[in-house]
Amino acid sequence: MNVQDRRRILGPASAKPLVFANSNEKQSLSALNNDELNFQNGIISNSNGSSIVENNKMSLLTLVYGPRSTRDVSFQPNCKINIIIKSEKFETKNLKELSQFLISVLQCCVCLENYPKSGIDIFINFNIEDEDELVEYIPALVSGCIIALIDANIEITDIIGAITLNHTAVCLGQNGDQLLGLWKDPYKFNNNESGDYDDSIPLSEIIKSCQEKIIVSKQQLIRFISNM
Amino acid sequence: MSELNFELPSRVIPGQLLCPLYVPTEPKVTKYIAGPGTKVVHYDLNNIDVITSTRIGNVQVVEKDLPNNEENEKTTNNDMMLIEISVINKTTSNDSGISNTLSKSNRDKLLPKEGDIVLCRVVRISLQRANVEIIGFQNEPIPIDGGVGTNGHGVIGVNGGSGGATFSMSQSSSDLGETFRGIIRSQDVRATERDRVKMIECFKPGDIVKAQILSLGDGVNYYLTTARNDLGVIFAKSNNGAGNLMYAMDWQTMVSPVTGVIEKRKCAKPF
Repeated sequence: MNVQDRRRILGPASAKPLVFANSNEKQSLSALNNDELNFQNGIISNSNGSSIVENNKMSLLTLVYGPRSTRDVSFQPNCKINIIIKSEKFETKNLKELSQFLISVLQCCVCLENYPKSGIDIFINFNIEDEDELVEYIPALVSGCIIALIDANIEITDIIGAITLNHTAVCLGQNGDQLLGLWKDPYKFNNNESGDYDDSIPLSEIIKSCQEKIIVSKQQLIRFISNM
Repeated sequence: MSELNFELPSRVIPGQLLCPLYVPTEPKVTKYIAGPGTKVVHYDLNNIDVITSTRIGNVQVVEKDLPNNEENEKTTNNDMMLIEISVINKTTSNDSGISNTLSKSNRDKLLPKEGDIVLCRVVRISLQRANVEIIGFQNEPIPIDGGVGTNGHGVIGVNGGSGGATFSMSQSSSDLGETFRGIIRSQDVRATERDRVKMIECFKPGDIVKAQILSLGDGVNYYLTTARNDLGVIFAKSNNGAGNLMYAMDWQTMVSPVTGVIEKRKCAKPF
C-alpha cells in the first residue's frame, strides 16, 4: 500500500493474531444458575463510568465516555447521547435501531441541560453464547446504562426500569407512572412461527401488568445503586 | 390545610424524591429551591412539581435570604421561608479533595463553566485571537477520558463519537483530540490598553496559559480571558518551543535561564 495510515501506529508487517489452545474444561455454570441479574460498576479504568450486568446467559459491558466536546458549529444548549451496541450475534441494522430506542429512553432521565455543547458516548458490548431475542436483553441494557451513567457522575432524574413480557419490552419511569418506550423485535411481527407469542393479549394489558411488577423488579437495582 | 409531616432523607440515590416545592409548615410556608444535584420534576399522575435527587450523595439544606425585589408579588414575604436543597457527593464534601484526586468517585466536575479558572494550551494565534484547548481545571481533576487526543487515552466510536457528526479535518489541530476548545480574544488579554494588544507579544503556540472562562461561547469555543494579574502564561519555552523553559521576569517578559534570551509574553503573577 502506498498511502500510509499516519494516524495509527501500525504493528510490524509480520504480526500474526494470537491463537490459544482450546481449553476443554467446561466451566460449571451452576454457581450462576439463576436468572437474577448481577451488577458491577467501575471496572474499566479509562472510561468515565462503566458497568457489567450479567446472569447465567449473558454478560453486558457498558462504558460511558464524556461528556466531551462536540464539533458542532452552532451552540447546543443540551448534551447529545450517542449509543453504540456491539454484538456479533445480531444484525447491525437491528442493533442500530435498538440504540436509537435506548437513546430516546435515556434522554428522558439524563439532565441534558447540565452538559451544554457536549456529548455522552455509551458503548455496550454484548457477550452472549446463545442468542435470544433482542427484546429479552432490554431490561439488562437499561439497567447497565443507568449504573454506568451514575458511575460516570452524570446526573439523572430517574432510575428507569424495563420489563419484558410476552415479547414486548416496556420502559417505565417515575415508578411506573410514565411510559417511556415500547419495543418489539422487528422480525417477531413478521413471522410468528414459534407459536409462543400470544398476540391475543392487548398491549394495554401488557403495560398494565408491567406497571404492577416494576417496583419489585427494580428493587435489586436500587439496592445495588444505594451501595455504590 | 393539614400540616405535612415529612423527614428529609440523609443519603439519597438518583431519582429519589426529596420534597415538594412548597411545604405548609408553621408559622411560615417553606419554599424549597433545587440546588446542585437536584432538579424539579413534574409528576403527571399527581400533577405536582417535586424536587428529585440526581446523584448519589448526602442531602444538604441551606436557608436562603428572600430576594427583596419581589414587591410586585402578592404574597407577603414574611410568610415564606426559602430553603435551598442540594445533594453533595459524599467524597467531595470533605475538603481534602486534592490528595486523592485519582479516586473515581471524587470527581464532581465534568464540564468547564462560566467563571472557572482553567489551564489551557495555545494551539494557534492570529492578530485577533489565540485558539486554545482546555486541558485542566484549577484544583479539580478532569474526567479520566477528558480529551482522547493530547490529554490521555481512550476510545472513540467508529463514527467518531459524539463529535463525529460534524467533525471536519480542517478544524483539528494535531489529532482527533476531544478536548474543549477556547478563544482568548485580543481585547480579553489584559485589562489595560486593551486596544493595543499585539497577540504575538502575549502568547505563542505551545504555551500553557491559566485563564478564566468568560462565557460558554459558540458551538465550538469557550471564550476565555487573562485580564487579571494572576492569569496569563505559566509555562513557555523559548525560540518557539525549541529552547528551554523560561521564567517570568515581570508581567510582560520571560527569560530563559540557560541562554538568557528574553521573550515577550503576558505572564501570570506566580505568587
